[in-house]
Amino acid sequence: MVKAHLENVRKYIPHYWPMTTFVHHNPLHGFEDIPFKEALKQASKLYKAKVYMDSKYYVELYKEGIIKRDVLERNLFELLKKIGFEKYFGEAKKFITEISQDWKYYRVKSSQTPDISLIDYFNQKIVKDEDALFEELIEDMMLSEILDAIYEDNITDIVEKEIVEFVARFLDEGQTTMSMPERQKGMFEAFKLYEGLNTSLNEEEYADTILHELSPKNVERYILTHLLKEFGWAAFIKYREDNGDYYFQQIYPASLLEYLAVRLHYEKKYLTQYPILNFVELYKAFEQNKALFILKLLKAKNLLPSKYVDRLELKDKPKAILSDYLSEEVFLEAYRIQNIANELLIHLDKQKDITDFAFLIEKLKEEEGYIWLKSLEDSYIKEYTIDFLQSNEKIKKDILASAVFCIDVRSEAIRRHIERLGNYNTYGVAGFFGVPIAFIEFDKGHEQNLCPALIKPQKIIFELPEDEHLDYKAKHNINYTFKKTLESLKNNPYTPFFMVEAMGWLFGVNLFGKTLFPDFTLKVMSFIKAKKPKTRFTIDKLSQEEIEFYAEKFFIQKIKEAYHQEFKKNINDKKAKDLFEAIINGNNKGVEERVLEILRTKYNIKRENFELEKERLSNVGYTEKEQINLVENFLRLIGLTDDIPKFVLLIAHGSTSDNNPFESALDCGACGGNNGLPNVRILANIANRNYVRKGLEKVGIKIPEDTIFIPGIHNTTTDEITFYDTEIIPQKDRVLFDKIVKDFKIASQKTREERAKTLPYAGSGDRIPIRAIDWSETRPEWGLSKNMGVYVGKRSSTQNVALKNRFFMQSYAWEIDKDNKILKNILSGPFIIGEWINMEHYFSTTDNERLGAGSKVYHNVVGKVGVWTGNYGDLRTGLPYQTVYHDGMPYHEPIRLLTFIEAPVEKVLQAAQETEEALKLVVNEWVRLIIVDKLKGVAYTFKDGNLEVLFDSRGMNQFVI
Amino acid sequence: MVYLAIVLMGALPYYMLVKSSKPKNALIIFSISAIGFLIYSLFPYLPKSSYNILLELTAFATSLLTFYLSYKTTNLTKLSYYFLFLNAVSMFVLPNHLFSVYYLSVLGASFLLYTISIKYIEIFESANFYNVKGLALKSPKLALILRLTLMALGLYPPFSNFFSLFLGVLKERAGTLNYIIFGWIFFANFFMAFRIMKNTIFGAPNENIVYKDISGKTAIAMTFLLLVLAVIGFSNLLEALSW
Repeated sequence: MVKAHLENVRKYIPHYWPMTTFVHHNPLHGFEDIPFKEALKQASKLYKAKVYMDSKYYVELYKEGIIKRDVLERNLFELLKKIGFEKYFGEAKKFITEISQDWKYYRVKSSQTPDISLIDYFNQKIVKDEDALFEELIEDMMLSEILDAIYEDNITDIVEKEIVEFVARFLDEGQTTMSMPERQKGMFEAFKLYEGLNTSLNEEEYADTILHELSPKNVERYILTHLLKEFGWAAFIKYREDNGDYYFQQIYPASLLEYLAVRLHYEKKYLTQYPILNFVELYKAFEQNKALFILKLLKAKNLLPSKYVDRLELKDKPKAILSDYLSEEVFLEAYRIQNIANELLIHLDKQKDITDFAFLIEKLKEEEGYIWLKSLEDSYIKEYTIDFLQSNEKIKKDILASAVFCIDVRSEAIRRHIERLGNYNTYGVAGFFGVPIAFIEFDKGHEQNLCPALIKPQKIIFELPEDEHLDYKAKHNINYTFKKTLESLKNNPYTPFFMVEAMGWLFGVNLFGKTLFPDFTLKVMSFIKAKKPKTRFTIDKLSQEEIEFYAEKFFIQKIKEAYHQEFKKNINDKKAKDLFEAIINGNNKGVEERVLEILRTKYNIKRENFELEKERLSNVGYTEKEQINLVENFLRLIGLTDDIPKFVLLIAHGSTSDNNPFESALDCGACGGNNGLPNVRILANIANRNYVRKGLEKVGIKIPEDTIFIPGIHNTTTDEITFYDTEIIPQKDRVLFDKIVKDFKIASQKTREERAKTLPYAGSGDRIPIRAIDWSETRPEWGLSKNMGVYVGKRSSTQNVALKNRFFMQSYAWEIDKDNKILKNILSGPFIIGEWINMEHYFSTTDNERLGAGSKVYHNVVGKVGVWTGNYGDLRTGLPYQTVYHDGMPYHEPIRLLTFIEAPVEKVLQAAQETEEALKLVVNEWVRLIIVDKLKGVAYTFKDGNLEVLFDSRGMNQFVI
Repeated sequence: MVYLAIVLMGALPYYMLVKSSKPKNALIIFSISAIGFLIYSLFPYLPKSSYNILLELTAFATSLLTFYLSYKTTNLTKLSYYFLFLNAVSMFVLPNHLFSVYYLSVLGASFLLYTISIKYIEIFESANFYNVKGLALKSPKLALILRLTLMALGLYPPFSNFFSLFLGVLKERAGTLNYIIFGWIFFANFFMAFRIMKNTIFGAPNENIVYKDISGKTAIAMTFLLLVLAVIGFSNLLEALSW
């Protein structure tokens, strides 16, 4: 039963990705099935969060002319028409542009007493019977919170501390040196041991039992209340549950049900401090003194004005206090309407007029956030639609290089500067370049999914060194030993005392160096740090023999490590091979059964796992056909199928920052919050192969023989571009390539200078690289902040439009997309990721404390999975304050993603209808879709779920927004 | 007379009789204490008597009770005079002239807290700070004055409250009970003051109330009193250094 309730509420828990693979996401993802406006209304109540900016913010934009007057008037009029109040248009406009921002200040007594009908109106709205009031107040409270309010204590804090203590320890991914034992048994089983809980019940039965004991009226709501109390942790557990192949989930499984059982356990445990133990007793007690309970709850929720708190302290009669409070509330609301009417110079003499006016003002207050937001978006749509629709295609000739960048908003400026430097054209594609891989980096043991979070990669790629890398090995071993020694000294109970004295200065050197001489320190550190050797990738598919060989090698290594860990002894290759034979082939000759048993049970070294390993290895690399497909799809996706220039530069992106837990949020979102360099190196390598080019010719794509694909990386913090694998460039083309490198350096410099103007305290562009290594820098770059829209179409349509680094730019040529396959891919990939990024920024701006991560300054990393504020609390979801705000003012402008698609309308509709998820987002208005049909010269949009003409350049020139 | 002065200054919890958060009543209590202090200034010496230890224990009990009651209220007016009753016991552990400085400082800072409570009433219709959170963000001038006042009452340097008591600890050759009382005064004042600071100055502002700030003139007038306390504090510090 609990399970069923939990399933119903789990969609309300926000999405979360661990810090190391930060993926931007819509915190209200669970609400995307309902229209945006309605969803925000519900979410605001549920999360107690602000979902629109304050009206003051929008009014400023209106005064600055960013929100256009005619657009606002049109949206306002539409609302008034819908509710039948067109006659008050002038007053309504004055209200939302001048009065609403001071809404609180109108709620005061004034010389003119409110009309009696106005008082009646609010009396009906505010004064409810005590039972209804009580239910309303406790709807989103845990029993412990209710009792805390009534008995004026704070056991909920203790309950939450206990929960966080356990959960943070259990979910730790290597931060602590003394990890919780028995975690492999699962969260609830480990909890039983942790808490000394003597019960044979499983988590479901246990949660069920406690819920039965607590007897809340609405069990489902109560479960949701619990899970939303620390929704960051709940979100992370949900993530782990949804990603069964997540390494730590596999070894230390956790589920929301177990988390709920833990929460309920602690609540029940501490409730014993109160005389009331469940909701039945609570309602009984409430019957004895209804008014007092309501007053205490109002007080705890900061709703009771101070003077009534005083009266409560003085033991005045609760009934009298409540009655006075409610009647004052009624009067103040009536006064507010009266004061607003006076300000608007409205003379309301008929009783109906007065109550109608009160209704109108309330409705306006409720809707103003949406009206402003839509007006802001519509103002931009109006501005950009004409530009996009009327821009003409200009064909550049003699292109030396085509540079392909990620669609990321940060690519816009550098693309623009490169294009202006000469015979270059640029393209935009999702940063994984159509190469979704599970990547195992050289010298790292774990996989990284280098693709959007929506995709599960089918292919595994290993990075292998090309040479013996002796220098790397030596430095790496020294550094590793030094690090381990320091760690063991630091974590030993006795050694830290003298270690601080003896070695503390070593840390000081680094600290002062980074602070005072960051350039120099970086050079020293890079000299000390082992430099990664030249590497290659396992691009080609492994043969069956190779699979057998590698699987065996891997398993023998695993056996050696397990043996060493268990018996603290090393074994030679022969003995390891014997153990391998015994486990895999059942050849037990000369092998102790006890050892085999330990390896099987404790270290999971079994035949089944060997087979699994072989299966995994069969996913390594691509067949020839797959390689041809990969390049073909990529070139078709960006529309580069003919006139391919001499150089095709595939430029992924990543970022550099120091002391920044949110570093991966600045990396490539389309690569799962990682650096996309492996993807482009793989793609370039494949595209340069002869058999691939021959294969491409067969499908109608002719790549000139002397065309070279070069991979590179764009560091979005410093705007430097570094090329890789350039040794394949023949000598004769070196001069040309050197020119490209030189031009790109100029473009980088210009981009830095442009960015320096918007980055606080950046000075000139030359100072920007310092930010990448400054450990105290809370804002190394703006990242994706201020993102506004996405343009899916040809670069020529956007080339002469000032996009101000606010657009994702996906290259798309509808002419070659005969079967809509490419557009469908765009709609089901980059489009959705774009919406996640956009919505994460949106909500992190509207309520940074609740839906964002708060200030970075107070963040501490917890369990290597995320951050919390201070030294305990909830796992912070969303983006930090410094990412979206500057000096108390929002830097990011929260609007929904304006998605412009350049293609015939029928084509877009057809593709959208076949892409359910994308269609849902459009119809429910989570994104604003604008179809730029250049063939017809018409732009279309969706309004209330229906397609409408937005702008017709054939003469009518009429905007419907 | 000196016994009367001690009682009037707060050795007995007579505020229980009025038990009110009304500013008028608080003002009466302040006046009574001030009168007590004047009487004490005229007859400063306690005669040697076996009653003294009894009175000292009574004053200590009053202090304990006041501290307990301070946790039961969030009304600034009440808390302002609670500080007087919390500190009356210091008379038994401080040398006469230092007690005068200390008690005068407490009286001054408490009175400042009282005037702040009046400002609270003007702005929030009550001196109760339960709902008034995040003052530092919304009414920065008022928050700054309140913070400094509470620092003075919480026995933080450089105010004379701290230095006179500190000097007293240095100069007085006290017995165990007196050291307990010294310790108690330090901690009780600190906790009482910082409880107020934590609850009303910091945190996120309450969106349900309208915040206003005090005028610049009022802030200057209040700062002047704090400045006086700081100057006296420095003179105490110099005395301590030369001791």
